[in-house]
Amino acid sequence: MSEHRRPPVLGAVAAFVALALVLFGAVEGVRAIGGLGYEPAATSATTGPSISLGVFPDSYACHGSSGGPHPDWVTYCPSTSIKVPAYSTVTVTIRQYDSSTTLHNYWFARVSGTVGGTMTVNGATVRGVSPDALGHTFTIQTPPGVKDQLFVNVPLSGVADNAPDAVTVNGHQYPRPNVIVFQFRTGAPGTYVWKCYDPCGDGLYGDGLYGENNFGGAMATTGYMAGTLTVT
Amino acid sequence: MTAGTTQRDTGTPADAAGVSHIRRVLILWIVLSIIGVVATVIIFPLINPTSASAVSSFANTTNVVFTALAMPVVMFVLAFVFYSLFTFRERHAPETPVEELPDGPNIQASPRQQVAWLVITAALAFTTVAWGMFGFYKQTADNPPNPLVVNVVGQQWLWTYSYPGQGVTSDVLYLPAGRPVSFRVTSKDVLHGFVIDALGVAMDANPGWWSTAPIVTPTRLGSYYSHCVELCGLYHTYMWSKIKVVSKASFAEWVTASGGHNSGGTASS
Amino acid sequence: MSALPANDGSAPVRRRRVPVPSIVSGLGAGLLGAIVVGIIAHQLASPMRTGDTTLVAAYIAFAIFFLAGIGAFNFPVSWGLGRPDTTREEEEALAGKGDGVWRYFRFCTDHKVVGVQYLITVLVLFLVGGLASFMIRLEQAQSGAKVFTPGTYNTIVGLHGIIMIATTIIMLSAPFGNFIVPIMIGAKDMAFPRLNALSFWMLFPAVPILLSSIVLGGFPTGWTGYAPLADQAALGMDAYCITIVLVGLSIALGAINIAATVITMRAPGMTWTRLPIFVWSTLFSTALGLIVFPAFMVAVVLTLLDRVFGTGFYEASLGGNNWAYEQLFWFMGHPEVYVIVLPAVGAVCEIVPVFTRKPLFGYKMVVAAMAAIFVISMGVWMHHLYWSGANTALDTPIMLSTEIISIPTGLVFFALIGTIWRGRTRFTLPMMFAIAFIVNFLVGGVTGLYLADVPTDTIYHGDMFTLAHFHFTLVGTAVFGFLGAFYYWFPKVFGRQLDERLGKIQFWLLEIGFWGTFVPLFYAGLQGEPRWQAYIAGQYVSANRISSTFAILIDRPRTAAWTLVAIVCALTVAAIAFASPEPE
Repeated sequence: MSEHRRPPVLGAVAAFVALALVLFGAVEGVRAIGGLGYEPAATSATTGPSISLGVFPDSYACHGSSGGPHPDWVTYCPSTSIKVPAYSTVTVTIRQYDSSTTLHNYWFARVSGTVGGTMTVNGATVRGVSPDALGHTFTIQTPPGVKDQLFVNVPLSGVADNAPDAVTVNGHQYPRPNVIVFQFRTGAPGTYVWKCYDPCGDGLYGDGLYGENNFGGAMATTGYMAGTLTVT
Repeated sequence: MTAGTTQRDTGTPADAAGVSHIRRVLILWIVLSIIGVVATVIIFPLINPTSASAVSSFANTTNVVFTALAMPVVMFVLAFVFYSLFTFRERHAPETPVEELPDGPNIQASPRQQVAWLVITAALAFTTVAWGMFGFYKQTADNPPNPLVVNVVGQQWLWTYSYPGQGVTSDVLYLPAGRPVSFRVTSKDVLHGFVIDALGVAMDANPGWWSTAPIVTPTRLGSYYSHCVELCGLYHTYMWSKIKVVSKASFAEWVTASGGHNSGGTASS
Repeated sequence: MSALPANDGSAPVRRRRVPVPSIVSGLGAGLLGAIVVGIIAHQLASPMRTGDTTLVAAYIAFAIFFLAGIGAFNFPVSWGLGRPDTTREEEEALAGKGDGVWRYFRFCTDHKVVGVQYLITVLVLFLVGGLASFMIRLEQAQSGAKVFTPGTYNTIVGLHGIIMIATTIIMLSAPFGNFIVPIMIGAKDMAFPRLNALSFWMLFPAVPILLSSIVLGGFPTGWTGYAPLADQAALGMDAYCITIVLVGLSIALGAINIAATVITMRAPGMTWTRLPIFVWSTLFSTALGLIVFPAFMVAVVLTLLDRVFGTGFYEASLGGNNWAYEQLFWFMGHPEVYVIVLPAVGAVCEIVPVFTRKPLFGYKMVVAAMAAIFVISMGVWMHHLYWSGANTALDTPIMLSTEIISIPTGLVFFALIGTIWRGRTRFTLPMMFAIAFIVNFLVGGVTGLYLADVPTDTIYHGDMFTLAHFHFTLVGTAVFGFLGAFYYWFPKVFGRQLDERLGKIQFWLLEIGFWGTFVPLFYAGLQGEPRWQAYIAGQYVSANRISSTFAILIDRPRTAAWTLVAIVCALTVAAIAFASPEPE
């Protein structure tokens, strides 16, 4: 019959601490690389009340000189992390360099949630575009439970398919962009998300009859066609 | 291994101290069950979610009924197990060598006990099935005429609602109280799950197909939410939208203000 | 490594010092093969799908070359080439004679070695899956996607799910099915020892493959891998698919082995009615896994075909249907939970009679109940699909079959109650886990009632209520049953005893932490919180009628933070208890 050994208290405490450290390391490591896989860390945020964004057909404009891990992905530039002030009217100017695709859900061809329900495209005030004439959308939506609901949908007109390269950004040539300007009002501070609702990414291949194509890739990755809007 | 008693011992006779353990346990069980059922009936309705239609209030009632039914079952197991664990536990000192510990009696199930258990559990199971079957049938079998048709389109990661009868599309779902609604749900990309808890609506949004949810009638004015219940990618967690159940007059106003048309008879039906 | 004397005075034992073939050569060959085949595949792939093609080819090559490198194919190849049969010394060397500790890192046919290999793997996987679960609770402890971004969170949730599912499937039937079952039936080893080793080493490469998805974009589908999101997903999805194929093959091989062993190698006089209950449960569980897991493999292979070759199995625009995946998946998915639960039931039915010093109450009843569960479980899967758009006429028969399966489950409870009744209970660690099993399974089973019934499933489908239910049933039975079996059979397997006091602390922390984590989630689900939420709403879906008293109880950050601490304590001390054996 053996006597009871004293339980190894030191070992127990050490194991507890070790596990906590491993967990801490794992969490911080995942966050330090900006997420798992392809979520690039939010770099410098674009801050308002006047925001200027560009939408490009490839990633060379703002994902580094080699275009980042996906040079061929469409992307918003300079950043998808946007900060705007609370209780103010925010003016957004978007330069849209990409060509058109056809929307799968025609509702997104309409302007919604902006001041006056309109936007200006190259100076002309409109309430929407034709569903096959937009390259992307900029759509802000509200996470559950955020105090002030914010929903803004702006269709961004596409440039002609055969438009010549006329502008150089970051050493790469792009056609002359469509300049879209709109305003929206913010309420209480909160974090919103925005993304493009015109399928413009990689993904499923089909004839698009029921809409299942181009929803992958850039469309589903923050830093490209999806991001956050922080109202502070 | 020392053998226990070889004759079948069903545990019913009183032991040396004249105590009938079975009777004690049954009393314990009955007391616990009564407490459990009463607590359920009082507390559960307080924590039930808001219900804005007959379907979801039936779900809430089912919550209470099933929990009340489950209480005696749960208490039965707990009462027997814990009473036995503590009353009959081994009282020799822990250092006693195992060979010196006496065995417990060899109790085996008699066919009568097994049949009784099977019959009772089967009865409970079939009761719950019958309840669910008839309740759900009652809610969904009648086809009210002229329901408001809402086409729900799920797209990563937003719901859009269009009203073919009114010619309106919106990101906020407005519903007139008292009018049956038929939701036709589809997706543009991947599988989504359209759920409005307050109304008791649940239907997956399958790409390429329209699925129709059972008709529900909103009965309570207020603001509710619909959320996506099938993981659909990056912003699944943000795929919520607002539901507003308003009076029929407000609904008609909203339709007109959104550029739609109230078809004949909508304002009153 | 100690020198073992030859026991018959013949040729001295060959001591193999070089690590070939072993896990070292396996990993080396696997990596080499993956790189070479990956490069070839990259050249041959169509430009639209190079990523997926390269990855899938590399993964498959890694698995095959790993197995070749570890010596799994040595015997089939030499048999195919007509070489002479292996000698007795070679067979003994293959069974690890003279290898010492190295035997655990080689292709070793000894069933005890394979059992221990599985045991360590299960513990390590459980730890990794547990880390992921801590990360989930951290994220959900406050409103907002603050700790992790939504994409990262989805991958973490998916990793947690698939690792835990794979782990709990094999948790009891692999380590103890391999080590204990042959001993219980009086067999010298399993029926097919080489196949036994193969089934373990087939599982091994699945782990680095799955974890490689982290650096490839993760996978956004959660553990179910639903198409068509799986078709759309980034490259990490391929790792998930290949993992499932490997795990499925490993389970199938293990199942065949256990079935053959139990059917043909029982000691003389051990009739079917004298078979230990744990052996029955392992037999039923692995046979069920053998039947249903191929459906999952098929579903996942079709996903790979969609991703690599552009077929349209799950894409409506190409003529496919997402329902195909759902049906295939859940045909596996529901019986799989019984694959998880049955061995735990068997283990508990072994433990309780020992520590109440009474025979099992109704042995034949329990066997019949397990057989009924085996059969009925293959007919209930559509209760996961009430809202999939399927014809509502199916609701009633499925509700019926789902409720019917609760009847044999109840018989198991009857047996356990009857065994405990008048039993002279000693509250040792295995017994405590067995009691916790009963309580947890009770709650888990009862809450399943609400999900089986269609009216309540309207509000609970896809909710945290569902999540709390399946954690109560899966963790509450499999993990607690595993730990009970672990404490019970540890002295047999390792020849030493664990510290009882530390183990009791671990037990209480685990049970309290487990309840504290998931009971509030039942409540959250009742209030409508959906699953997979990286961003927890500060308020719930419907307008809240509850008085402010209850509102304090639903203050999510506090509840979740406490549960996090509880889990951390519990699983940490689990690790500690394992690490402190007391030589006896």
